[in-house]
Amino acid sequence: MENIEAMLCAYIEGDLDEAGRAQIEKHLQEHPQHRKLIAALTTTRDLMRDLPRAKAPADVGEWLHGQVERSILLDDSDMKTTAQRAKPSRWPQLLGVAAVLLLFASLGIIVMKMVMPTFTPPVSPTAATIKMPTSSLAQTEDQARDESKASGPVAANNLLLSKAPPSQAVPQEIPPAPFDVNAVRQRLASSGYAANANGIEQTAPVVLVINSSNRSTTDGQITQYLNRQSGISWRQVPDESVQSPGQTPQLNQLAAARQQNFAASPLPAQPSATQPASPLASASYAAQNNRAQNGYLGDALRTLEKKDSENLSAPPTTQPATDMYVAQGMTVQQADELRQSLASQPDVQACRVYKQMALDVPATQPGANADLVLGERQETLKPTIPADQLVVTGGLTPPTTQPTTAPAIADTTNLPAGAPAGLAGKAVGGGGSNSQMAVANVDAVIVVQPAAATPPAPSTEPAATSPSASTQP
Amino acid sequence: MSSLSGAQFDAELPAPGDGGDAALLRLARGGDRAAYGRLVVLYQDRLFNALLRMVGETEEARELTQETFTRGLEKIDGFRGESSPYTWLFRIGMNLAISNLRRSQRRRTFSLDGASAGGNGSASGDGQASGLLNRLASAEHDQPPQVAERRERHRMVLEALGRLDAEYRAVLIMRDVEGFDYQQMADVLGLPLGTLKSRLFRARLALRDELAPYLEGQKK
Repeated sequence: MENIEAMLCAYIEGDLDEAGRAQIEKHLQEHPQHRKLIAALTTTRDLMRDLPRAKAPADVGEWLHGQVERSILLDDSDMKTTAQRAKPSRWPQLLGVAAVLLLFASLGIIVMKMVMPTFTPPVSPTAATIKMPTSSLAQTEDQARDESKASGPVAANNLLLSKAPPSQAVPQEIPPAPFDVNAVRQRLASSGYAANANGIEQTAPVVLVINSSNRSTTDGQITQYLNRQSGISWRQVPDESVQSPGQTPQLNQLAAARQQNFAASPLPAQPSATQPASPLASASYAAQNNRAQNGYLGDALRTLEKKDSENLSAPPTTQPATDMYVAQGMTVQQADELRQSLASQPDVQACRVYKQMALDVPATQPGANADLVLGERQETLKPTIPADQLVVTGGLTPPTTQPTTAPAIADTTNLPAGAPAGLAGKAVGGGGSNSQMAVANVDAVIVVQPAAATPPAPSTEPAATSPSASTQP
Repeated sequence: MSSLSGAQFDAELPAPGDGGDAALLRLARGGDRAAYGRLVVLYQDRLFNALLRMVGETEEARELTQETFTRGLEKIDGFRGESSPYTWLFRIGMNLAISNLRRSQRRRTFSLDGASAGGNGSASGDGQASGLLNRLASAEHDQPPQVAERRERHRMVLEALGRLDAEYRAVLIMRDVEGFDYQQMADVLGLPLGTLKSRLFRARLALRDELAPYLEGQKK
């Protein structure tokens, strides 16, 4: 077909050779209608060739001519650059495309950050407790918060404690006293209190340290909150100057034994009358001495006292004692709620929350599974003590028969035979509605201390205790 | 004769096809900027006319002509001398024109009275045709009827040409307007000779179909 068309084309154009032309002529004689077609095609050819010729407009070559003349005058070495310069630049278009791409990329990043602020892959609880905090409570909180991002529910409580709504006004934080976990660990080892060797999950108490310029108001808010919450048994640790009138000889013996247990680890020096101590130091020392038999908050306060004396830049003054509360059944969520409500008060200068965890404390003594968190012994976990030997001593009596009027915290370790059965571990007494509270069940310790006259300079640590900072993704 | 005002380009212009243009191109390749300018002067009218027949609009044809010379200057090192300089430039221009027509997906009808129609027959301005019209208009009333008839015939042919596909249009223009031989056309289009002749034949058939009403009227 293509050959026939090519032959016909050549016939019309007059380019066909003799043989080809004769063949076409013969065909046209046999098919006169095809001759009409050839005639029409020849006519169209003539019509096309008859078209007039147009001249180029005057400015067709002027621009190029101008460029060439300019290149001659400027003696450009490369003539092609002349033409390239004459072409419109595409850089504006490329820049526009790049700007659009950058805009979309930025929007994508913003959307991703809004949709996925944090990613918390689940990690086993054991993994969360393997890492040991370094040397300070602030760092402990930092690590716990970091771990909470990576370890899921276990460390989430720690993160929750430090979180505050972004919109909430947070007063200026006073950097908390660093908590020397290593010292606690050493004290644990030396005192024979090891970590939970039986793998029993320990519930560490929450410690709220509140600096307030108006303790009475703050205390009222705390007690109001604690009373309002159902399921919380709380107790205010009474003033340190009040002696426990109900100490029994048995309790005194226990206290002596207790002191022996802690004799291996040095205690802080007693603040002398001529050397005023910091408020927390005074309070803690009074607490541990006036309730020497309890062994309950002693270590905690001693630790706080030690760090308090190291870190408070204000000169030590004689301040009223610190108010303390212990609470049972208080969840970390409730503790954080209390912290937030207090932090919004103008009288509260600082409100810190510690979720103390005796991390990676070695189990030095099999069977001695008591955990020590801020010096607290959770002795109900001690399997070596028979249940029938757990009694409440130290002046504590069952609340139904004799409400406690004097502060007392009983240590039930190594109780003599014949003690009443059915009572749990250690009790904290005094001031509250309940007369007994097992140490192991103390979930929260609330410490209200007077506000420092001059807050120390802001800590350079990465916002370990700043609730607002901890909300950063 | 030239629209360029540079006197140096008007002088010593070789006749197209006598080998002088090849010499100019060789000089231009060697860096002689004036030689390329003379090539522009030499070919601009011819190239513009061919491109005008392709695209049907004066302004577009002017831009294509300028772009062709610019591309030629950019690619001058790639010219191997296997074809004439004009064929080489024409190939550049024709490719540009076909690309433009494909982009715009349009068919145009050309007329001599200043209107070019789109594919649907709507009229639009046509500078080239207007120029042609202006040359003819002055004598329209005082010339014999053959002038008007010729003018009408040109309009019909241009309109029919504008309705053809670009490929058909290109071969017809190369053959009938530019006077290319088959080999030149094959060089420009990159087609074998047989395929080229077949396409030319089909293009003539298509143009005949478009001109059928006119041709039948002529018979009557």
